[in-house]
Amino acid sequence: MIAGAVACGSMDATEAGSRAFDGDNGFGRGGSGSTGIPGTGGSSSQQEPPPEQEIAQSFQVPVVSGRWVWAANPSSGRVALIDADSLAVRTALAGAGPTYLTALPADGKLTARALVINSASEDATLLSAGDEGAIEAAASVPIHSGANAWVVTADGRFAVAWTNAAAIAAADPSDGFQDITVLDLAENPPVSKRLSVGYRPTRLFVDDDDRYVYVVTDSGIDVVDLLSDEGPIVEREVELSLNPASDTAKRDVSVTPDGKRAFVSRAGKDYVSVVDLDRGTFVDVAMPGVVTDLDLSADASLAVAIIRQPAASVMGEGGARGEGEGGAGGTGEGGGDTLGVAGAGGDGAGQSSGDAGGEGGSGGAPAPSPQPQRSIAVLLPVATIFEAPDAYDSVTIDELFGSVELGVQGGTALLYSNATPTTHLTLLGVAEGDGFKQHRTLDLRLPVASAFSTPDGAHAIALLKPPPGSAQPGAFAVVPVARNLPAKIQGTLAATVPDNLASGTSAMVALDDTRALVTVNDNANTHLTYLVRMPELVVDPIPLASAPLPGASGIVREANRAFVAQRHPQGRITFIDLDSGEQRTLTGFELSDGVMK
Amino acid sequence: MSSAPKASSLVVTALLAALSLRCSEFGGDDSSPAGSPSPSGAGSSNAPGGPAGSTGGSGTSGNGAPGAPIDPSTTGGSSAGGMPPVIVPPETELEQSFLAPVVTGKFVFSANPSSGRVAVIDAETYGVRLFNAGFGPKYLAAIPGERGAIVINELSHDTTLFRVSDDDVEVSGDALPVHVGANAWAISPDGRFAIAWTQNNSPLRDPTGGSQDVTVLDLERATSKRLSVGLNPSQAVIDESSARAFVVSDDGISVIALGDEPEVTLLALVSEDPLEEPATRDVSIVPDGSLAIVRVEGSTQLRAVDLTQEHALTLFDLGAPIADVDLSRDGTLAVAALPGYSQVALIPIPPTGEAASFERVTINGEIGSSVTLADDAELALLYQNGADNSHLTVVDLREGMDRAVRTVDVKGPVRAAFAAPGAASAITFQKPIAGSTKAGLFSGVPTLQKRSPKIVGTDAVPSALAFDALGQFALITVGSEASPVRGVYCMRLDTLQQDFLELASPPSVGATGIVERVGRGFVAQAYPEGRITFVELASARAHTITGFELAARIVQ
Repeated sequence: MIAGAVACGSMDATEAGSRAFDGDNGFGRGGSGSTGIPGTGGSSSQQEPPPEQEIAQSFQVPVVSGRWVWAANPSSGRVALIDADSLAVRTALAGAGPTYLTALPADGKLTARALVINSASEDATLLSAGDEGAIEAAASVPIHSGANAWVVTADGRFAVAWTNAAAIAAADPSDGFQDITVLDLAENPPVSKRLSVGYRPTRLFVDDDDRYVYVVTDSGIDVVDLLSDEGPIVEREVELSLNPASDTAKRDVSVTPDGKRAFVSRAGKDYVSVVDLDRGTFVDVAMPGVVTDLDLSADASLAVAIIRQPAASVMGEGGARGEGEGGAGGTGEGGGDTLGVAGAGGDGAGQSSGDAGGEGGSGGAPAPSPQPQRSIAVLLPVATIFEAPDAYDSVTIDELFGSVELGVQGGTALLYSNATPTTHLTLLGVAEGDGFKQHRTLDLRLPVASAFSTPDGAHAIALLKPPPGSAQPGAFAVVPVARNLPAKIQGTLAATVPDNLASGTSAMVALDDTRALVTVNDNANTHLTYLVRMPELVVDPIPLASAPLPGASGIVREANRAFVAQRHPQGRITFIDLDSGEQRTLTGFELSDGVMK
Repeated sequence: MSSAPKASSLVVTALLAALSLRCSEFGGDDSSPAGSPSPSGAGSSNAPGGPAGSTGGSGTSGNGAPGAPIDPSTTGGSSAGGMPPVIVPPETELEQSFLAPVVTGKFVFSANPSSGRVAVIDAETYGVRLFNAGFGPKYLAAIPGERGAIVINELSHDTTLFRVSDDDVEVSGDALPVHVGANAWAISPDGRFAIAWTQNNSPLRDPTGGSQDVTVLDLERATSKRLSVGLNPSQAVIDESSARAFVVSDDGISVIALGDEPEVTLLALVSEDPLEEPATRDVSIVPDGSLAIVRVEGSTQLRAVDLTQEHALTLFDLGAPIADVDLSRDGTLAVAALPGYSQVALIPIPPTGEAASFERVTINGEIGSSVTLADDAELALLYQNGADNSHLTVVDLREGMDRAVRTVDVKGPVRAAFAAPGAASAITFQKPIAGSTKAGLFSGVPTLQKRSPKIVGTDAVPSALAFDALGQFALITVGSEASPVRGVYCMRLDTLQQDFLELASPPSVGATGIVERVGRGFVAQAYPEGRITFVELASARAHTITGFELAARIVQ
């Protein structure tokens, strides 16, 4: 009974907030005042849900430059350049085993440029072509062994080849993949320099000035100065904790485009580290619970941290920084054999900055009653959070979500959970102005595995996982985000979400503001792509002649076509007209059975 | 501290001795002062027979309040006070196993005991010249100042001296006799004296074979004189003025006055207990020969031995078992590892004042029981190899750096650490990471910059290491005769770029080195007709010479 009372108390708190969520456009106002520091008094034996899975990795944009599509064939050593408008194909010889491509900005008359890693010869080839004529392959430049990924400066002068351990199955723990190779493409011929960074780099960022590359590794963030007097050097390494040798929790790191700040969350930790990359210092920003995901808006104005908050964990002392209009935090008494006491939350309206709130209850045996589902989105202002780590907004919502996707536009956060099956997708306004901190939750009928915003943020594609035995093994939803309209649920003939999110391959999604291509494959005979038209929410299935290659679909807006490259001994690619849906398949030219990017 | 590799049986002995010492000192008897309970609690769990190697076991779990870990009345006593020390497993000295072989100027000398020849390879031109030596030329040493090299002919019990002048090499003078069984050298800095001695680390050595003979060669006067020193010599060194030699043995330190008539002038005792197990001792002699610093496994007391007197032992009690000591190259600083307190003590040499006055640096949360000092004592590297521990701690000892401490995780358990010249980098040799399929592991560690170590898994166990004089490059040889994979890594220490070069045959023991003058490294290999691979350090390009008279075994 006491447990029930406690649960009710906390439910009241959030319901008070959620009742205020009746905005004109369907968004509600979040009850941010109720976010409390997780209680220390309560305890629970309730099993913590598994961690959220990052599966966006599967949806890399393939190598498109303008209207040109590049494809490599490791077997023949050739690279093909396809004009998506005319569908003309040109090929050129690269090194041994050309595999990993990246497009480069056009340069004068050279309208199409790309770099390819030749895996077998451990070098890279610079390829360039004009609108017509042969592809020119520059002399190969040596790179380190095992490179499988690229990052390129926006001006196209420097390219960095690195090794993404996530793409290597069963990597030995002593394989740190610490080599990177910096290519200076302004030199003729291009020159390369090998450098060493921290153990297991996971992400590379280039700053807006094209001078520094930030390499996120197991050890911290290595700052590579591309323009030092000595050429490219690892200028320094920014540590992310006071005791980096013992900081072993899995991290998620995002760097702002200007290279000034990095945001770091750690698995199982209730704080976010905000790093000043210039000064090499950091502050740990206390969160009201364990952070399950963190995303940074594309304009770097906002970072959103998610606390997928089992009710028990929030029922301790709470109410730090109670701010805004949230309902008063629950104040149920704890003790005995109950969960901890829900914190007295922020004071609610009118109090701008409530200090630490209620006291945690004394611990006790876990309550057997169902736990209320609530989660918190913490909105961290990038510009000020380092100097004022206590000053941030948060929104508590009576939903279970642990993942966040901000997309390019970043005005609306897509909130969902793929750790615990839930059919809900919550849209939270995170841009200042109308709709700020207001949310709307959609029931997509099937468990949500991931969600992606269109670049303009007006729509989203959510991959769904039908239950076993479902007539359709897969599904996705097309979600109007900007308007309060119903989502389109589309069943698919092959799964969109693998059984094992951590290791399987999800459907391939390519999208722009008005079109999306969702490609599925059952690794047998079923392979097709779905052309999505927005805002009409019309979906057309298009069969493919053979299995799609991983990460090899894209939209070539300049040619008004989408494409899907497919497995075929001599190469195969299908182009789809974005208006008519008409498809053209090219087969038998030098395309790869291993286009990676 | 550099010393001979310790056989495993000796390590066990040392462990038991250490445990016994702690038991008697820390409350196993009635000597603990009232009000200062033993930090080891009941004390009994420190007794021999306890679980060897259990880190931080019994010593930290006493029932009493922490007290001073030693009796303050102890000679030279000091106390770190506060928390009781943690007991850690004894360390293993491995550094000595990875030294480089014989290089003089641009020449690499290699002896072939079978043919009686010594090959001299010009590392610049790759030209090879062969010289006849005596019977069984085997143990080579370089003469400082690029003057040449000398080899012990094992079967004819004499030596052959090679003189280098400019670009020429010639055999000099007559063969000087040495005692039977000579297998090691100590050469004076001025190149005048060479002392042949016998090193026998085998645990199976005969108790009557004390290896007490040494032969002093005066290379200027072309004379040879045999002398007798203490039992079972473990190291021989000559002071920086080339005036005296010191031979460390079970009995103490035999002091040899060099000059026109070399003679043993003194046996300096390193212990007040004549029955002390010598294998537990770790002796370092300062370069000017004035002093020896002695550590005994498990003891809290550091000994300073005046090498000008027979009985001149001073004890400095550091308050916790001293797991390791290293001495700076100039002999002005000793660093003692006190893992029980997570500290190192910085001891000025010669030690002055009470032990309590020695500066200490605390390394919170880390166990650093082995210590390696950089050549010029810019930094100390601390690690643990008595138990699996993947952390390496760097203590910055430079002026103005406030003894900054930084710990890095090199992923795999550290076995040994080596500071590069200039101290900007270090190399660690490690055990493979748990779950790894690799046979070996090493890391390049930036030490003065906050940068990640470079972790390198290897398909064979690292077996040798050589740095260039400026600390810009390192060669790490992997593999042995027993391993199917053999090769050498050339690492640029500024960028930590490493390139692997496969070797066609097994690397010889201790046969990896650098020829400074030409910017090349080399790895001599075990091959019937001789094989040596040179590595261009700047480009990591290899050049192998095969099929000449090179040694089946090169031993320095």
